[in-house]
Amino acid sequence: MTAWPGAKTLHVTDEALHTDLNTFVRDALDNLYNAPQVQVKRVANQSITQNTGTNVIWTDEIEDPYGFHAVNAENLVVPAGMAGLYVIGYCLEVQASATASEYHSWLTVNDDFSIAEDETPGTGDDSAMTVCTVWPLAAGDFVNVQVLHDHSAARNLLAVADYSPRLAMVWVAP
Amino acid sequence: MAKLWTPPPTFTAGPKLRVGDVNTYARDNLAVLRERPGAIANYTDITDRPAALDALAVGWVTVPLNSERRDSGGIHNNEQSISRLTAPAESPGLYLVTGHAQLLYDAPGPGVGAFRTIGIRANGDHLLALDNTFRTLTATQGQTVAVLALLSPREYVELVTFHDSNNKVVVCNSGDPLSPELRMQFLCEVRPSSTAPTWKGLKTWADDEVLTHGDLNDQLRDNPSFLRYRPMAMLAEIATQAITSGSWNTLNLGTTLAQNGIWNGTANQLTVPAGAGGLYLIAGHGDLNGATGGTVRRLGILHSSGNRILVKSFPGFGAEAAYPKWAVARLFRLAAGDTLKLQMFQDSGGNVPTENGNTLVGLAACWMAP
Repeated sequence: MTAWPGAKTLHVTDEALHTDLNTFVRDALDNLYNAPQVQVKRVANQSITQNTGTNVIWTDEIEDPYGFHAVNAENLVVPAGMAGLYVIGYCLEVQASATASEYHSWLTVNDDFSIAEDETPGTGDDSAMTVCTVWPLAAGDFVNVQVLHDHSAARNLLAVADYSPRLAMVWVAP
Repeated sequence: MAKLWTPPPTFTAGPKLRVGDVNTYARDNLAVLRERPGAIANYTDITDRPAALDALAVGWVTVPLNSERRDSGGIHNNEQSISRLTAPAESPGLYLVTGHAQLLYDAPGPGVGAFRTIGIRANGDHLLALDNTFRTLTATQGQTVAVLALLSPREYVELVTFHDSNNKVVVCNSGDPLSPELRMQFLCEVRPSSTAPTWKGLKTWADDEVLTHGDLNDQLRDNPSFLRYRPMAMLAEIATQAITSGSWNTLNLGTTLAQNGIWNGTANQLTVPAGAGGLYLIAGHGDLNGATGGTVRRLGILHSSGNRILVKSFPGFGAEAAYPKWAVARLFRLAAGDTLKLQMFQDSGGNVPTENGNTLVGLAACWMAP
């Protein structure tokens, strides 16, 4: 993605028109079209200890052309020059429990606060949770996903093609 | 204020290109494409969220939003109709709308008044999507609802809640997670014709190169138009449908609400048009009527690979009937020819009808990046 070149008002007497067209048309379109994006996943279950908020460890990159993720890292980190408003979403599924009362997941920014969450009472069915939202991020900000349950023992965060677990984000506006 | 998009003309050989044309169709239109309007609004000062809780009466309640985290385009007004996020006159089209709230489950206990619902409502009377959960213990319940919404100029959305407790249920004003918040972001406009927009690639001009009308049409008309009227489609269903027990049912989607390109060639599914592959924001929503029995109620989106790419469950019900309501979205890469279907699963032992009503049953997709 080319950095946004700003806008220029052209005048009749401007010279080097090709330079201006390359900067303010070609590069601007490139910036708008090639929005920074990343998708990560797991292909194996992750054990989640009971009553412990646990960050999902993303072991595989579906695609990461702009360098948001380090393999096996928990976080997606906004690279320099890519600050802006992002659409961010995750989906995941946690192993069922006949006795648990709470399955909970959060989308968290900078390990500091959560911007969206999903929660089910548990019991019976595997708990499939998902959120999708928009949020402004600066360069260096990072997002991750936490999972919590209160079964009497550890439960698996299930690896299920093609929805568990998955985390993705894409730039939409400055 | 949101800026004004000027539909580019078709450049022809002969008339000279004016500098003013380049200023309009490059400088101004590209600025419009970059600064897509959006807003994030919440309740009380976001820098000083009190721990106090606000009580909500039984029934549908509109959540007030008296503070803004972000507002490009004049979407939220703190002083008038503070609950509304309004589409600017210059930016009708497809919006991602997400709502977030923590609802406190209140006495008198499980089995009575156990449902907590949040939703997105348009124009004061039309529910777009709902998300609910069944609570078995006294505690706060965090929920998120997400929907792709088509809004005409000055149409608005609000965050609404519903509970059926015998007592008042509170919406938490909290800083972590953020509750309540309503977030809205413009994605694209619906193209007046069914002609699919086409990305023509980028051109690098050389010194002294002759400007051709073909290049201008590609770079000042077609490429910006692709970004303004990006590939997207929304299908819905008005009539209810019986969901049989024990297997995934594909939902009817007989109404096309909008499409940029031809997506509805095959009934009850979205088919990605040629040349429209990319990273998509995909959203689905639906409601299922009440039924006891079984332990599984699920909404899913089925991809042509044979795998579901999004699933949301509604577990935890028992003696009290489950009335699941789902509104979900995710990012996923689609190729030309890929298909998406909306599905439901329930294991009550009998047929359960969908509750279409205001929210309908819906599936939508919008191109976000190559």
